[in-house]
Amino acid sequence: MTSAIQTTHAKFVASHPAATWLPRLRSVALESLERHGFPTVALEDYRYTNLKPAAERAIDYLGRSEQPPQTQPEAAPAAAADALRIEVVNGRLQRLPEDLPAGLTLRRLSAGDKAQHDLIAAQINEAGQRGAGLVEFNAAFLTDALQIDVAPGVTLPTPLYLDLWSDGQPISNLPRVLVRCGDGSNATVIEHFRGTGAGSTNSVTQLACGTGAQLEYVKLQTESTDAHHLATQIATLAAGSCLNATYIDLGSALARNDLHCDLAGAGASASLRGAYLAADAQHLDAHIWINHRAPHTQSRATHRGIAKDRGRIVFDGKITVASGADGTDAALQNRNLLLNDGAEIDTKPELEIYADDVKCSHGATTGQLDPMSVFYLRSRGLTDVQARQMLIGAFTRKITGHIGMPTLRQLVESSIDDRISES
Amino acid sequence: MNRLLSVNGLRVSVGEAEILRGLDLEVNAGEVHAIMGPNGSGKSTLAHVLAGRDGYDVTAGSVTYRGEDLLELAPEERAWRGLFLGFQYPVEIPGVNNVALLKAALNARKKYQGEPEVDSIEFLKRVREKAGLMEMDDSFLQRAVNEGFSGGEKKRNEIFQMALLEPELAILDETDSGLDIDALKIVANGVNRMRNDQRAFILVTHYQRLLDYIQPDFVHVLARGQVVKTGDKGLALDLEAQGYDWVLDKAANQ
Repeated sequence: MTSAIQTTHAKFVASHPAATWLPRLRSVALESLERHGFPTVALEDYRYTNLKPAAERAIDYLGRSEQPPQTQPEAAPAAAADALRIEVVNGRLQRLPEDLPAGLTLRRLSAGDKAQHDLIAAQINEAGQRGAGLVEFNAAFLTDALQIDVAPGVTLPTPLYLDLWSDGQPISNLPRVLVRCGDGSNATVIEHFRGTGAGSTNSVTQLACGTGAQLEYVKLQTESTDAHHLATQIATLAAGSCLNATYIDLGSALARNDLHCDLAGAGASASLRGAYLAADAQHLDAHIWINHRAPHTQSRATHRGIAKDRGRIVFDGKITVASGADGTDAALQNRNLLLNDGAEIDTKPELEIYADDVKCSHGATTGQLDPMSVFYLRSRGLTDVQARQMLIGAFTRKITGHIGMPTLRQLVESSIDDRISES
Repeated sequence: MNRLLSVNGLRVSVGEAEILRGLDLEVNAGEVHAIMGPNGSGKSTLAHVLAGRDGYDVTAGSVTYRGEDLLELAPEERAWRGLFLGFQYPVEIPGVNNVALLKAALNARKKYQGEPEVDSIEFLKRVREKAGLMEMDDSFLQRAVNEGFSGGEKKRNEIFQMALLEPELAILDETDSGLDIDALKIVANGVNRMRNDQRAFILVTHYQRLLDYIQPDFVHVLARGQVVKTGDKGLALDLEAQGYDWVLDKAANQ
């Protein structure tokens, strides 16, 4: 029996011919996707988030003939001026910047070079089965991918700003970005997902840090509240490397973010910080998976969720300490604001420990705005609404305050404040 | 005489308990009133009710502020009209920058007065000037509101806010408690520098100590929710020497 995905895939492949190796990559991914199917609520990791509407929209869009963008992307935010901007419109990678700093190489899958293909394909295959179907779905319908290579020992003078714009055309956006930081290198990468209309995104971002590399990664999602947004980040940290990741989800009717962080080499460390605001009827789900696979690795994860109106926040943070990963130091904290009846927060911090000598902690709290703080601000002349907005914004500053680049921090904080005041 | 505040027969309950039981108070522009009294006499309740905090039931009486029914106004509307409360326990607000709050507060008042928003450069100049008077350095200003401040720093921050917002009626709720003598002098200087014939202060305090540095025009003793005695600053000295009991006994015998 031919499934809906197979039919769509056959049609898609026919209308998106590609270099020789791509069909192979696509079909391997399709086989795997067929085996798993799209994740359903029957799976523990998807219990609170029904992805069926997102899957249906994505498949529907893939079955349609692709139209060029109808609207110009909104002007890039000021933060982009300080960064090297790479544009992705409706999931399609635009022309890459040419004047690159020394030590930075950008490659694209569609460039037609066999050696590049093989390199990128190998990395894509490494991502394996992480997304219970979502990662395979991304690969099965790939048309392009971007690889960002930072040479060993190089500190990039400017951050990379990936501007992923969607104008709500019925196009399934399947960005694939592969960041590889050479040994001892230092880089900042931001992915800003933004747009209008009923978009559909299922992105996969792979972050590989070589020995002693330092990577700051920021994901900011401000898509329209009609969009569906699925995103997976897969980070692999070699010995002594350090990942500083911030992920902010503000837009979308339905969003799901899976951040996998493998501390694979001794002494690797990761700081993962997330902030989510779900208003109206938004449903925002964040899963983080931290795997301590090597000794003396350290992780700090902080997630802050805010739910108002009929908004719903789901958080699941899981720390696994493998046998032999002695000296692991892991802490995971989740704090939430539940602003009214009707909003919902589901949180599940988990620890799985197979090593003996470890220091692990986790905790979750949910509360309301402090009435005394509201009164204090009102007594200074702020209205009740202004005071509450200010306090909600303040709740997220513990997350955004760690973003290194000032203009980027301002962009993230003003995006949050804008969302608070319009919701 | 420019009457700022009239409190008449004010009765206030919290839940089942009646805290203020028919309180009267008249405050004119240019005056400094000290309200003293033992713990539980209702001093802080009076301060909070005047500022508009939730959770208090006004069961009788009235409060008129510059001709308006104060009790009908939201806390922010009172602030716009020039009423300021210096908190006994200033709230720590992580994530809200001290200067950003002040700018929002000042602009809220300007907006109400129909004036344009304060110019950023002019604002920072005023902030630096007032902060200097309170012996607060720039690092203070850039920190989150009261976060990690010592008790004394929080109280100085309250007076600094007051100096910038230039209220017509400032109610300082036990601003002197928890201060060492140096901080007390800084706070008192901040108040004294602001005294003029357009502005009034209500100093709620448990101890006479503050009044060594700020000379009140009137001292009121509050007990069991009423003003039981009013006098000049000499009354504060008598209270310091003899405690509250003699006033309370006298009031009880009347």
